[in-house]
Amino acid sequence: MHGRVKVRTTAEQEALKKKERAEKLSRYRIGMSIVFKKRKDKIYDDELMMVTERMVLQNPDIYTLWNIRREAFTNNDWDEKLLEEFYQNELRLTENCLKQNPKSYWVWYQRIWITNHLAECNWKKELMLCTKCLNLDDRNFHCWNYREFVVQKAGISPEEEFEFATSKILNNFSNYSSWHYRSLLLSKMFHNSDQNDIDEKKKQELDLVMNATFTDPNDSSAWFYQRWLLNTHECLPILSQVLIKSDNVILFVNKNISAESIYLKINNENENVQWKSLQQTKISKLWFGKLKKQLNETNNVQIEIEGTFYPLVYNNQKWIYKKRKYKFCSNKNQLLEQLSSYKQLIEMEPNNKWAYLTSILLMRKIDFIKFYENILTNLNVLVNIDSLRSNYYKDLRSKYIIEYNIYELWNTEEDQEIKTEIDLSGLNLTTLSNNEHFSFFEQINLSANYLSDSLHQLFILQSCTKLSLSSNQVENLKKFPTLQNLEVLLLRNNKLNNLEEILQLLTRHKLKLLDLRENPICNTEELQTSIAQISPDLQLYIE
Amino acid sequence: MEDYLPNEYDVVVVGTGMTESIVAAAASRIGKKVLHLDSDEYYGGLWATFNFDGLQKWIEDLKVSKSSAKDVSEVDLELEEKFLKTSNEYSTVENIEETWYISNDADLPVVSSKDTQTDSTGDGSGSGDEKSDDDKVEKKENVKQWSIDRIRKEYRKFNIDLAPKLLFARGELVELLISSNIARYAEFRAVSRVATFMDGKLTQVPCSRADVFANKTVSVVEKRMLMQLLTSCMEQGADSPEFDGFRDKTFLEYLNTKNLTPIVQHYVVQAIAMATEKTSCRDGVNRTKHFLNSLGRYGNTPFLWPMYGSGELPQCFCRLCAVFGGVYCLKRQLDGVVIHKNKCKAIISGKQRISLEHLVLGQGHLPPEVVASEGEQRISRGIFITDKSIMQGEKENLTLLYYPPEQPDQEPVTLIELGPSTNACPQGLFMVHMTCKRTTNAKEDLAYVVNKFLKAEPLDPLAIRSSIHSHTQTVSPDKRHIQEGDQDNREESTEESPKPQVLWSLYLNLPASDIKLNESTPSNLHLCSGPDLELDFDFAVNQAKSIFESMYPDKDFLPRAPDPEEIVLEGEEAPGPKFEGDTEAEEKQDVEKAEKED
Amino acid sequence: MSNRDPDNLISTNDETFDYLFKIVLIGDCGTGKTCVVQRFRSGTFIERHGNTIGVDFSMKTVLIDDKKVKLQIWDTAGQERFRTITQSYYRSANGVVVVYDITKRSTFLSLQHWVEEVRRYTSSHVLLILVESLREVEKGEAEALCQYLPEVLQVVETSAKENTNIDSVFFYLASELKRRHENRQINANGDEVVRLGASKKLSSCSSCSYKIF
Repeated sequence: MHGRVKVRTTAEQEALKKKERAEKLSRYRIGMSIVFKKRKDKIYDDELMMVTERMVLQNPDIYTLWNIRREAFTNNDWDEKLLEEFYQNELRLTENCLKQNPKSYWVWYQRIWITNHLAECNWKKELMLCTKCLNLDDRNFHCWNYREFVVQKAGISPEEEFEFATSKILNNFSNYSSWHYRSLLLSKMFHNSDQNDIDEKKKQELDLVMNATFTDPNDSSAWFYQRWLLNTHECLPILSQVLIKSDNVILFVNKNISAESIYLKINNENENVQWKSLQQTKISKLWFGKLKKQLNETNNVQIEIEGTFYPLVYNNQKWIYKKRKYKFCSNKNQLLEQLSSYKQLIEMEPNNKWAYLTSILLMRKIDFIKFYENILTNLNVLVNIDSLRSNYYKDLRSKYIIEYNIYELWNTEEDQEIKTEIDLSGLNLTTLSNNEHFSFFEQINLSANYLSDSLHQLFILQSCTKLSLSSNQVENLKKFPTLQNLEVLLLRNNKLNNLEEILQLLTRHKLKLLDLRENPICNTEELQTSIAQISPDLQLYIE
Repeated sequence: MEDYLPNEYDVVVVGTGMTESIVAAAASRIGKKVLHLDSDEYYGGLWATFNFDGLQKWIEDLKVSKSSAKDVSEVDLELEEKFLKTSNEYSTVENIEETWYISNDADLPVVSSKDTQTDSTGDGSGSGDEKSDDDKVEKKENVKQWSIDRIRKEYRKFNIDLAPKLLFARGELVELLISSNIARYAEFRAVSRVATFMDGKLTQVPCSRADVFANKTVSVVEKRMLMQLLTSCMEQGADSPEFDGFRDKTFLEYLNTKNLTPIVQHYVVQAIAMATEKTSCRDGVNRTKHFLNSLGRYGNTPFLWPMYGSGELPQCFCRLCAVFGGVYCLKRQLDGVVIHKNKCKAIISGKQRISLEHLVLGQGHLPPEVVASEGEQRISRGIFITDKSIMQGEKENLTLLYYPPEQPDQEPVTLIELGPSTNACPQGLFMVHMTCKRTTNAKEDLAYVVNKFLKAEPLDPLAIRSSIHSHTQTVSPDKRHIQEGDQDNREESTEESPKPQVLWSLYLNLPASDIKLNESTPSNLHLCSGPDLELDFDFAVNQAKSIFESMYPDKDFLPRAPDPEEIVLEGEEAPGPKFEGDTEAEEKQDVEKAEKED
Repeated sequence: MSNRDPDNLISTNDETFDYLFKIVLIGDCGTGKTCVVQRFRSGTFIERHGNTIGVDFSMKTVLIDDKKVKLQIWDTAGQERFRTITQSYYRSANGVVVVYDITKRSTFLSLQHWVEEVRRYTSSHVLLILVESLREVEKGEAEALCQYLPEVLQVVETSAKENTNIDSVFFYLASELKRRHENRQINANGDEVVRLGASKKLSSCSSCSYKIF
């Protein structure tokens, strides 16, 4: 029929596409060779810019091209006006590239670089770009990151930006990026507010996130934010515990600080102390110091941290400071209310692991000692309903048991006493957790637990002189850390069978007593003689 | 004067309503020769959308009874042929009542010396920035007040639907528009909120996850209940064992076993399932499922509204029909059909006899001889121009409200409120459409809902000043943030804010859509119903599909129309359209240059 | 007004462009509308009678000041024959080209009707151009008419057969439309008009995992 149209067949379309692809590839090869030659010859001219521009438009992820373009910006002989023009062009170019691939690391990086180099950047416009991009895909974390950068540059207050974050979260709460951004903003806001404001804000946020968890309990992003909220956010460092014995100082603060902010004053004179953190990190909650001289009991000893003075008291060859209050919980009623809502959720959905886990976190926050038994019961339920993560729940359980036992121990302490001996035997512990208080204990009984896979965590036992790991099914000692004060080590009833490991351990420690009874290794003939060669004075139990 | 038309077609379609237009497009798309006629000079029949002037003309024309006065007794018939005269009695619109509640300019007190003249300048200016122009208009309108003259002057800014309908985002029509590629002819706007009347006030129903999350009316436990119920309706469907015990029970009876709180039950029944006490469990679950399935595709609610009104959509199908060769002729009367041995052989239109294989008739063009029953599902309609939204928010909303009957003798009413962004009305006004099943007449049927939500009394010109004043005050920021403590205050203030003032209203009764043909109807005569009572277009789409299937059982129904890129025109030298010729040339240079350098 | 925001349109296939405008052609039957498009689109002239079946609109991208301006040029699909062009044809058009054949007096006399339709169904910001097709003309008459049609921006005489001025009509439209749109700010709130089936490339990866319930 006259004028009828013919629709291209798929085969024809395929052929066309194939041809296009081939052409594209050859263009790419030619382009790359031009670009590399110019780079080698350091010719940063208009042609280079044109060729690379065309190529990044085709494929924004060739980061070499962006690198070369940045080289061109810094190595050219353009005058200021021309350079500014090129920068402006680069803004348009990156925007076009982002339209094609809004998740390209290199393009976003290029844009940050350019905006930083512009004489005057229109940050409001950049912010608008972010908003637009996030409207199209509110899970684009590249854009969230860029927005954070822009907000800072544009001088937008965290409070103002918080409004935007709220509108995004209300629009779609299944969004890790969005919750994370919110937590970043809150951290910034907390930095400048007093505790009351922080508590109030957290209260609001807890309610908000609870709404999300009830709307879709299977969405994990909200639960993570909730856990972040339930963590304590302290703004000022507060000293928790100090113990000085002979020339050794152990200091524990509630928040990571640097060694420079700690002053030890003897009779109001700053004492020169060599501070070390456990892992040689710049900031830490736990600091170990060496005194240049011995203290005597008439000295007035104080610690100063960020302007606050903490006086130490002398008791039986030790100077101590301790603060043993439970963490104050300002929103107990709200948390109790939430707890009861989550209990209802558990009734409606008995297999909802998040509801159990959150109940645990809430109980821990409200009154750990009072809810201790309930917490353990909940954890046992979790081990069953979420068997995939049973090890995680067992570790959590160990952590809470240790905390509880430490609290119990504190209840037996005198006012001016820090107990340095703890019995944690037979508690089914699977991990030591990272409890800083361990560093203060000298005698630790960890027998009859399941710590064979957690030996590396013993590193925290920095003051330990006597340690029992009997009946822990320990098979090897490769990961046993070096504890410089260790004198007595009980390893009875384990599965040790490697002589080398034991000898190696002995060379690293000055042990006085080692108990190896009821281990396969005891049957090794040369055991005693080998050990005697290394530690002749060691008291060794093998049967 | 009549245009001369070719005499032979595969399919003749009379009437440009929704169903007719879909059938016409489908037939044309598979290469059939289609003639599409309408006796009116506009597209759509009872599905049409008019501007204010067009509507006035339509009302006027109805008053002058459309007698098919033409005497067609002298039709030349061949042997054994029978002539049936067609009638427009099955598309009769009744009980039209138009009312103004405002005055003419001359009767108004002078409120402001600023800019009382109507904005007709936009047409001529033709240049400049669109945005600023609009701002200007908006500013002007805050000062001006509405008069009959002003509404008449701005007639072009109104698009008034006879049969307003929404599209489910995953409903039959949306899927058809996409699969047939007809979607490119239309634009839509998402309904921005579904409202419900609860505890003496209008509230927005949380329909998406985001809504449920942000909702402040229900407790967290209720949120979980709602989400659980909705999820089970959507994932399991009515055939799931979950509903086994309720096969012969109502949806309400099922819900009563779920220990829902009253609020949650209200949301599900009245807003999501749009059910009554009588709705069966099966229907309730299916309606809920239909609602939920359409969520999240285009907007905050499951519904779309066609820009410029529902009357655009039949035209989109007509365009496709024309693109594939269909012949269009409006303002062309069908006088009757020629029957030969239980087959429709031809139609008589004016002086022409046009022969055909299939005849597709809108219900306004049926010969009375083939009609078995006129149907019962007759429709009451109310159309209102108001000065503000029934539920004011910080931005313009497109609202759907389902209002269940208060008394046993009332029918549930569907209310759709459109704002200027849909092009239904100028800035500053709203258009409210009410639809229900007819029991008495439109005005009486809808009265209980009109009184509930609108102020339909003549506006005292002297009171205008104060009403404008309050209008600017009541716009309160709609902070959706959950912890916002001022929530209660806000709701109180909305409650106190006066009802929207009706400036103009039109009541009318549309004919029944469930008209039935008798068994002696020729098998190649196909009936297309008028607008039905349902909220969406599914009925029309399904009717069109089944008509097409009975005409061409082996053919595809509206296969995808090709995009221009996929088309090669006969005689075109190049195998495809060349785009960006210039850039390609440049690139070739580059390549050559590169090769030289190598 | 038109709610289409050319700055916000996202490319539906792998071809990119900076602006996209809808241009509709109107005018009486047989004034050579299709030939005009054909000439512009592919540079060829095919003398045809009757309507072109199945062709909805044509696309052509032109470069204006280094920007890719994509024109979507819509043809009437024969609906002009009995003046049954649907309103939806005019919706969201950015430009209108009214074609008439000066050798057929009737097509000139119809101009008033077509401009009337444009007034009724398009936004007030649409660009309107009169194109005299095919032959040499008495231009004075068309210009006289334009006094009564203030929205007409320009009158151009063209010949698809001789390929005179066809390109310039569309280049003029493209550059004028681009000029009017380029100064618009990025609208962060985006456009709320929904186009069905338009693949939203940017958010596709999130929408597939986006949960409703």
